[in-house]
Amino acid sequence: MTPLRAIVVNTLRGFLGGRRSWLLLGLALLPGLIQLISGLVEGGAVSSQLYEEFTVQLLFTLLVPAVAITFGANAFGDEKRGRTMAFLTLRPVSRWTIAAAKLMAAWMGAALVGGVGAVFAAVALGIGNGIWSEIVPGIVGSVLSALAYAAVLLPLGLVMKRATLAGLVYLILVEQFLARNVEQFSNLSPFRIGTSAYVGLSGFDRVIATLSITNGAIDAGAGGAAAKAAIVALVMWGLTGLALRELDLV
Amino acid sequence: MTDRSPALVAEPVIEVTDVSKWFGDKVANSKLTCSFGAGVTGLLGPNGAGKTTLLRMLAGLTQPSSGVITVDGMDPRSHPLLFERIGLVPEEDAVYGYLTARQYVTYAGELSGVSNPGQAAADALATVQLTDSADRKLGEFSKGMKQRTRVAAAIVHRPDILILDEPLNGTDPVQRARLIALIRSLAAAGATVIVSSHVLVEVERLADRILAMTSGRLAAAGSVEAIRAAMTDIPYRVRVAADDLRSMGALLIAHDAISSVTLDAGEMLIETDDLGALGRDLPRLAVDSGIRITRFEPEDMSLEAVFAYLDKRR
Repeated sequence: MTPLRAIVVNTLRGFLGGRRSWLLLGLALLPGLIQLISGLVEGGAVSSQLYEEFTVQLLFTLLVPAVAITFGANAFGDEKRGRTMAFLTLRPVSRWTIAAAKLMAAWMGAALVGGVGAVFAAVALGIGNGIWSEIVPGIVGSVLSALAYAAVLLPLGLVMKRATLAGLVYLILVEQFLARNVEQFSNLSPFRIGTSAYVGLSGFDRVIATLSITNGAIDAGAGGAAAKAAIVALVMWGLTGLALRELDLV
Repeated sequence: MTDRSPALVAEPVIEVTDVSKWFGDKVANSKLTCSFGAGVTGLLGPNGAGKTTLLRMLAGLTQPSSGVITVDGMDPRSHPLLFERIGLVPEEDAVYGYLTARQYVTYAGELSGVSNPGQAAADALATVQLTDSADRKLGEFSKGMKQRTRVAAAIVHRPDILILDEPLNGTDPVQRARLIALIRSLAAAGATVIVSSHVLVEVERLADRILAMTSGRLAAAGSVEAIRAAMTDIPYRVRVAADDLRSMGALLIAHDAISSVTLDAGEMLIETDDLGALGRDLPRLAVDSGIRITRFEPEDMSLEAVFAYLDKRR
């Protein structure tokens, strides 16, 4: 196994073996559960309205970001708290490889947990009213959102003790309030990446309008969102590699 | 022929030149100059002497605030490939608790670019006598077993530079003897081994050469015998109580072996370079003068006190 793959596998093993991941998975499944109950109890029309106005909103502006923030912040945070940074870094592996492996692991973990939540919600919509077209947009949106958030939190987890808390505070204070109301902030907000990808692929016409009302103008398009996510990931990978090279690691 | 400082070796692998390290206003290491070559060097000093900070700098985990550290002429922080040659057992009792010992050591081998990490891990675990427990989770291990696993992870890629920070912590006497034998065998095979400890007896059993540190500085350097001799030069302090302290004090001040006498809380604190002479002569002097001695107690010389003395003598 190459060092890159070994770090990814070990980080994922640490992530997915703990209680934290199960808690996050439970949270990610919550919108789908509500969607499922609504579909079974209320029927088709109410179910689609709920999906457009509540489920997608909750998934892409709160739960998938929260999952990705947690994984991104803890990719290095767990090593620092567990005092295993020396084990990881005193190896003939370049700092850039370590940073790339940690980013990939955080992304994969977040995309898996967030993606399961998004797929479950889309399946619940299908069970409620027979619309199955939202599964792929849900997967793409959560995968790109996971990448953007995990990447932003990766270097913060390396340099800060409470990066998860800082990320969640940012998510709630800045994105839920400032970014919704101030155009300049909303353009910088990573949650736009996930929602842009989602609305670009979604079969629902109204979903872009619904999301735009609450989140500011959203440019639909999975391609543009993927490009933005890739740029964010590249920049953050570079910053993380530099921090690994220059900072004291213990 | 030039006189070389005892802190330097003839054929250095690791060189430390005028290195200081501070964290905020706390100085951890101050102007250290020393070098390390083949064989076992013991880094001896009390807790807080700056040993761990120095080892972390040697391994490239932290960078010096000033000065230069090189491994084979290169800065370990900017040449990660050097780590193919370095193994480190840090002081922290840290392992991935969710991995088995075999997975942990295999992971170390994979990161170190070993060609057959599974076999290398099995060999390393056998070296530290952990084959039978190899498939148990590290979270269930005792402190000593974790320590041996960490040693296995440090040697899985057969490094020729091994840095061990308090490696015998938490091990029982049998494991300790085995680890010492292992460390000595690696050094005998030509490896540069640096071992830190705050226990003199441990370092004596392990090291050919000692660097004694205190308060972030080198207090003494040289062979085990030289350091031992330096330590036996330390003046002893003896607490003496008698029914006539003044007369007793006057007698003792005139004695050749006594360097100072002070009155302290109704007793005398005597400093002597020759504890044997004092023990021999004091009863005779007391009997001749009709003084009754009620207490004669050498004060414990803690390792901290020994190092403080060595530091003061520099």
